[in-house]
Amino acid sequence: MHRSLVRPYARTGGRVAPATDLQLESLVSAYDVAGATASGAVASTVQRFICDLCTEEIKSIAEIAAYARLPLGVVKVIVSDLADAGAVSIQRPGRVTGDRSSQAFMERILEGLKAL
Amino acid sequence: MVAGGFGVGKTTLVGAVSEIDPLTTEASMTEASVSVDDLSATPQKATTTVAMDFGRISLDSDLVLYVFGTPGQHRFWFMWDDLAKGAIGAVVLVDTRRLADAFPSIDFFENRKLPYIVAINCFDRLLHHSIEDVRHALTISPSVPIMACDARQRDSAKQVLISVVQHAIAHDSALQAG
Repeated sequence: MHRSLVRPYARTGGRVAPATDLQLESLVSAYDVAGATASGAVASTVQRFICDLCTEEIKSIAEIAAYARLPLGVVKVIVSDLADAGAVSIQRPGRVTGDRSSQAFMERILEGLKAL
Repeated sequence: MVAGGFGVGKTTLVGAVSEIDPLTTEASMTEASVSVDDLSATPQKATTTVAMDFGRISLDSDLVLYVFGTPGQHRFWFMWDDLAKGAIGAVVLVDTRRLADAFPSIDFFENRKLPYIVAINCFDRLLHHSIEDVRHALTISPSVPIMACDARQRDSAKQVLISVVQHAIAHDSALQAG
């Protein structure tokens, strides 16, 4: 998207806090953009852009902000709204240190990197 | 997280391993620090924005690793905190001609107890000081790995990330063992 003359937080109706706590690396995916548009869950150009972006491939909040050329805070509010409306789903990277599953997770990352 | 002084090669390292051209994202000061920086007294003040570069590495169909270069200016600590929360570990990139630039990053990771390694970026493929000299000069513990790298080379940058993950695994096991 091109830089817009609209002030960033005008896109969120002036809200700065998302309803859901999102991290930079929270992953967003969209499945049924047509359905979400038909039901009115996706109304604005920015919402549509984000849904299309996250349909092709799962994207992080940071990536969405970069591609949409919007500040992170604005993207968090919009994505949180989209999730509430059922237009996208969010995966939180629930990393806990020290337990067995996190060890297996770290090993997967290590193996993945070595295989690059 | 990739940290280090200005111009030390953070974005270069991110770009060398990323599958996409590094992206830039912005956050404004008001988003994270309204409670700290009271802007109400100066409503006309333009918000400060901080930009950071990051890359993406798809390791598996359901596993994506993001590599974030930290914003250089240290008044943007709020962004570092956000990054550190979800980070596996960090690398402090060092230029031996400007060793002191690495201190704020090292202090940050020591304080947050985030596992980190030090990578000496050898711009001309030459290591001008021994690794142990650098360790001594930076006063870092023997448990922190230090390595030489060339941030421009994909394989070298990859080795840096592998070392970070290996160190983070060792760090976790040590925590578990108490």
